[in-house]
Amino acid sequence: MKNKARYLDPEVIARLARLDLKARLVVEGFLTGLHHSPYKGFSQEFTDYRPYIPGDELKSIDWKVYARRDRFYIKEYQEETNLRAYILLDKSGSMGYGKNITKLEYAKFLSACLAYLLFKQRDGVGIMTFDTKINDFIPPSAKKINFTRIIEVIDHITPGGETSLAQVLFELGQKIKRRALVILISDLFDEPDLVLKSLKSFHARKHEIVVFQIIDAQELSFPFIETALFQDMETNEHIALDPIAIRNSYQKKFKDFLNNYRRNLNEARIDYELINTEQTFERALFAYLEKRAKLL
Amino acid sequence: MKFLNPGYLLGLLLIAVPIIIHLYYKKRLKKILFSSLMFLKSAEASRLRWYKLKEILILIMRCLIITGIFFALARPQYTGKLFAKNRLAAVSVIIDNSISMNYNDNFTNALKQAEQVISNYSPKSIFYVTPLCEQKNFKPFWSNKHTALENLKKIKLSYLSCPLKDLINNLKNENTELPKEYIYIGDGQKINFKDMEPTKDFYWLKIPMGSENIAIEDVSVKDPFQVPKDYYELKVNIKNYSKRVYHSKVQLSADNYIKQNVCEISPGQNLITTFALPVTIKKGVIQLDKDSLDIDNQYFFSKSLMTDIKVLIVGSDAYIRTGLSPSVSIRTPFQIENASTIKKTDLRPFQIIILNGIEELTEFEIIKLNNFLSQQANGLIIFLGPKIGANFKNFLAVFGTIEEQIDVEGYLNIKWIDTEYESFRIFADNPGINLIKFFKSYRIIPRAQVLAKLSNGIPLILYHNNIMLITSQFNEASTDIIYNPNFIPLLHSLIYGLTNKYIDNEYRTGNKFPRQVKIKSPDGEVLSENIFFKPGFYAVENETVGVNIDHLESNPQILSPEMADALGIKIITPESLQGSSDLTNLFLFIAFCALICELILMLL
Repeated sequence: MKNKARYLDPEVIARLARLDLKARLVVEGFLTGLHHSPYKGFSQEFTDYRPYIPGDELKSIDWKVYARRDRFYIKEYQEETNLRAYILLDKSGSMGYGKNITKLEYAKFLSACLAYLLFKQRDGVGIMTFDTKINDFIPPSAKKINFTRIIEVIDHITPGGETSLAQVLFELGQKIKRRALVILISDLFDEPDLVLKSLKSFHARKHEIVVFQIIDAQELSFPFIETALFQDMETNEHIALDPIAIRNSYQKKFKDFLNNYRRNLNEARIDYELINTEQTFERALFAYLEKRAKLL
Repeated sequence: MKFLNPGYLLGLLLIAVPIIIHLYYKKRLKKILFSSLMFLKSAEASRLRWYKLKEILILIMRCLIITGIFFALARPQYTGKLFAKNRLAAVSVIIDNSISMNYNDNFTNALKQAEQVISNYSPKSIFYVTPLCEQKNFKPFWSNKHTALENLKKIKLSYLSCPLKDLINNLKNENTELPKEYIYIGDGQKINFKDMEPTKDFYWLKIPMGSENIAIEDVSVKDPFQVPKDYYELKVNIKNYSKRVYHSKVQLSADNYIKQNVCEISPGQNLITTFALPVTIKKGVIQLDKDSLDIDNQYFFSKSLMTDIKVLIVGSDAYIRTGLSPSVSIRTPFQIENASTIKKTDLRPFQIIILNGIEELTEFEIIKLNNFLSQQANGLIIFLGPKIGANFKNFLAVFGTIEEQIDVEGYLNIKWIDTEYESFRIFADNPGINLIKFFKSYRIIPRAQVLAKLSNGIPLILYHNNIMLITSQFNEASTDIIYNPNFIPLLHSLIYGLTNKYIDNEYRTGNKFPRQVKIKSPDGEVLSENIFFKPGFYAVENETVGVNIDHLESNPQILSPEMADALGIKIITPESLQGSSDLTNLFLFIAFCALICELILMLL
């Protein structure tokens, strides 16, 4: 268990070559730590027995086991749902930033893990990568081939371009007709008002949304000391700065930026999770599972 | 500016070091890829500007530190433009030796500065060293540097007041091959620049003037004509030029008579204090407490009632005798005699002859009169009677064309009297003089000086040389003056105007006595040119004359920079004469300040 749990560490994961393998290790490592399996549910595929407790439907009782053991047991099946999930993965230039592991790498692993988890739960899972526009789009499906394609897309993503999240959400809205779960993985470095407006509009159309905002620890602390030429990874614009002189002001602005998203998304009842790339994937996966539990 | 150790200026090349470092650092600035500049740009646009400014300021401060240090090491010396060494010119050095330069050691200082000025010029320059006020036994001339320095030592303080105007005009006319420069070294009293025209290359080396001064501006004495008094009324006008309230004693000492008045004068104010002076006084001094220019605190005056003036009245002596000697109780200086004609009278003992209403003069009498008048101390007063003969008319022709006597309807008043005329000053602000009525007068077209006019505009009193002509007679038929309180004063002042009028006049240093007489200075020296050159008592024939300095010398008003500018005068100070001043400390201070600024900037 210990060996599997260590795969939740992003830096360890980064060293592995195959993304599907990484995702499997992460998810299974994560699941090993859980007390209850998330796979239980209503499904044609048997998973386990459990003792009958008053209130359970009688039709669920396995009479054959009763005959053998003289006790009531309920037969549980793997859940089979019609949940359609879209993973929206931001691949803009700013996502390429990171000290040990870039935000995009983190986001890719997280996407793969979530896809794997969804796939294992037999949910339909699709993916969409974007910067200023949608780059790759795989519609949701619970088939294994779909999962493989998703992993391939994620594997080949490289950072670049500016972010135009509002535009992307608008385009996605045109494509998704049925109610779906939308998992947004991005640093949200776009105009907050526009992004929030788009997300709220999406939410208003009965779609469920989980937002994972990925940031790097250096973005939060701005630990630079030496005067340097800072270059924007999206626009290539650069300015000379004395980091010490502006650190306090920067930190305040950045925290205000994050708090603004948190407050507004909470108010709109949109699930929001701020993920630091130094954190393990557990938190993100928990957040997803909580959301899914609500959907059931 | 010059440098004592110019080699250190090479160190200024080190300024390149911080500049190169700055540029290198700027060029080689480490590039950091960052996710987004949106928080950096929006948050701190102003700080970014400040950062750039700070970098530049720090660079400037570093350059200043290097500049300051190496300039200080090079020992910079400031040299005034005017007195740069080896200047070649024809230089007129004018030393203000007026008495206002007697403040503290201003005059000695002026001479020292003059030495410095001359020394700074090229040995090939020529110099005209001259005192502002003419000085006995010293005639200025163009000379070389050495002689000019010698000539400086001959210049002494003078009690005269002299404007620059005449001196400069004379100097401008001098022909020299070298460019002309004028350097006036003095306190720059405004009066010295009176009427001066703008002059090119005129420099004023300013010697600061003291302002702690209280001075006697003028003294006036009211003669005791009108009332048989035994006292003159003596008014002393004192001005406080200082900036503080002045408490002073004014002491009048005359012969054995001493009197003190205490006065308090506010800054910039005048005060008039009055003394009653016994008429027996011959000479006296009014003295204030001393201050920085004590010479203007003394006023020398001479005052005595004239005595023993022998007056001959030719014709009727009615009213005239009474007017000259009203009663025994009034002391008058006149010894009066009467004669019907001049012909048989010896005129030699008399100083004043009064022709009262006579009709004609013979040619012999005219010759006698002319002989009499050739003596300058003598005078003739003529009252015109009802008729004038041909000879007499010719004699009077110098006064103008005399027409017929007019018998006016009603009367004429005295319309105007010349109170500027010395002995008529007592009639100033005296309305009673205009109430005198005249019933008869001669119409005259004047050629001589008119001293009084009647209300129809015709002259009443005319003056020529030492003759007074009155176009009417002082009797009942012609005027009511004989009943007027101004009768005696007018009659007396007619005689005073003709006799000894230099006595009691106020003389100032530099004035020339009007007649060629023997004058002894206060030192007992006999004057050769009859010019009063110092204050004090002068013996003029048998009388004493008090001479004072020009009261304007007391005035501490100096030429303003604006006025100096208007006259083209460039003002310089003794400090700029030193040729140079050491600026080492200034540059060290600049370097120190730059260092402090840099440290502050780095902490910001």
